Amino acid sequence: MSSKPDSETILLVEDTPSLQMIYRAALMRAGYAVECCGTAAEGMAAFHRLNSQIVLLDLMLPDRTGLEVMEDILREAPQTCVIVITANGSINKAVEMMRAGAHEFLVKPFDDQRLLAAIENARKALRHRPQAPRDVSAVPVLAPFIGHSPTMLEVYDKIRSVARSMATVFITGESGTGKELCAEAVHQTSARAGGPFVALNCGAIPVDLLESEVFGHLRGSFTGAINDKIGAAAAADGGTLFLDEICEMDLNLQTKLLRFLQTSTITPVGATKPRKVNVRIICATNRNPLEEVRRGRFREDLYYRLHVVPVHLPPLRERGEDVIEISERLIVQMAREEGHVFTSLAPRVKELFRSLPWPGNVRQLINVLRNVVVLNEGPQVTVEMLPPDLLADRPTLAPAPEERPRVTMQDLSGRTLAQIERIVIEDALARHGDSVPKAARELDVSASTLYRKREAWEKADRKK
Amino acid sequence: MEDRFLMGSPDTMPPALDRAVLEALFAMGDETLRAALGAQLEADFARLRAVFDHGTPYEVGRAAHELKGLAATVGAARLADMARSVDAVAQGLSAVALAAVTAPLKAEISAVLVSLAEVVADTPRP
Repeated sequence: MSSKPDSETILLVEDTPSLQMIYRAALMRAGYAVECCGTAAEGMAAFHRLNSQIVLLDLMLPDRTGLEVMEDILREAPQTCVIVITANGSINKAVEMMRAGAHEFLVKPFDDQRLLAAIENARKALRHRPQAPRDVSAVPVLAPFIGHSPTMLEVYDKIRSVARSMATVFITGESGTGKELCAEAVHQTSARAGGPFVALNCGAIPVDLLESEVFGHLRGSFTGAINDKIGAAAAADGGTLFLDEICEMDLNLQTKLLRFLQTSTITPVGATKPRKVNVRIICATNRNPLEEVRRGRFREDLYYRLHVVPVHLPPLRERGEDVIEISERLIVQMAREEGHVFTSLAPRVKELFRSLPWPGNVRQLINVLRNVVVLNEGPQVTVEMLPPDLLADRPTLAPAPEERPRVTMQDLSGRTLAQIERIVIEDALARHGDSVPKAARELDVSASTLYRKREAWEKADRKK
Repeated sequence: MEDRFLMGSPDTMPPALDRAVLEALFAMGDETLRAALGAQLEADFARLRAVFDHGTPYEVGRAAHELKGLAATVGAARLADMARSVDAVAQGLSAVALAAVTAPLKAEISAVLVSLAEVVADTPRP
């Protein structure tokens, strides 16, 4: 068996003869050659004979399960696009199939247009695949990630596996672990890399505007809608839509998102006709999504629709030597940008970095390194160059979170209201590991408010 | 099925088969496909009905699973719903209970077969 399938003939493995005839008729009318089989054994024999690039595979076959057949096919020819066909009620099985490498799944009943769209998607994916199969295992690190820790190598492998399918990816991880980077890596590694990558932070946009941001609106559909606006879903047509902080999404909008996922159609605010879009969804959250479902803040059906391939990004403190590898790489790069020369970290700094809890993860590490590079000349990063508040995070010196010194009235006296606001917000963020949603909940304001304020402060700080 | 109408089923009861769905399937090919697919559908529904007569709970569950996909595809929505229900419970039922839950299913298959024959012969119901 060759490692790359080469036949244009579509292999259909379906045990109900009339359904075989129906699917075959639809495919042949569209000009495809089709070979039909009714059992797993016949299907595997035909696959060996034909080297089919696309396999339509029923989930329940008389002699074996579709999952077992698909595993055999992908083991022999990993480039094959397997489209799983399933009856209603087998969604969990379909999810399992997607995780195991299926390209797409079709739920019975589906019409000929849906079937042909799935075939066309598979053909596009095949066209975009490299002609000579790459030995990805020989290149364990997935750019632009840095780090060789075992947990990250697993993440890279997962990203590579999921990239070849259309499956929805659900990224979890603490704030600052690189969830958007992960989403971009999935997009760039996929057959959609030539299409747009549109990222939307659901927590940064006021609830009232979010629907319009996702689905777009027509001019005059509400006060202030002075022009037609294309939403993120339409902007991502042919590419990937990344919904960050998905758990911040309003429940009403979750219903609309679910409908969008089920039908692949969007209806802009004020429009009457839906429009079909071809978008891959990747979403992320720093919360525990299942806990959000239990608390009634996230729709269970939407969770199962989205949570097809989970990717968990480990916190920096669990990535072993990655903290050193990232620091050494970035410090050189940043120094070049700032016109300084830094080449290494002092042994004491390495020791300190390994022991810090890094509540803000890689984002916090980047900020620390930028601070060092901007304020110092180099060539080696020493403990004295580190920001003093970082040293306070040392486990041996720092108080436990509940004992962390709180902002007192004395700290606030003599300051402007705007300064006090910033102190209070930054204190809340620090106590919640830089999690904007958590800090927003404590302060009883929307996360979007905090994102906007933080952006404004960062701009102002840069100007100083 | 005819008995159900005589026993007072409302006149508004939807047909066993959505003719438009089936016609759309037939329209994918010529008269040969119409005849071949009609005959194959008849054979498949009859085969599945036979399983409900004599099958073990496992076999009935498998048949119900197959039937729900087939029925939904050809526009037999009520039959698909009934098959879905049987698929969900079949494997935990005794023989007596199984006979009770499959009886209406078999009757509905018969109704679908009648409608199917009419559509294949292109003789719409008056």
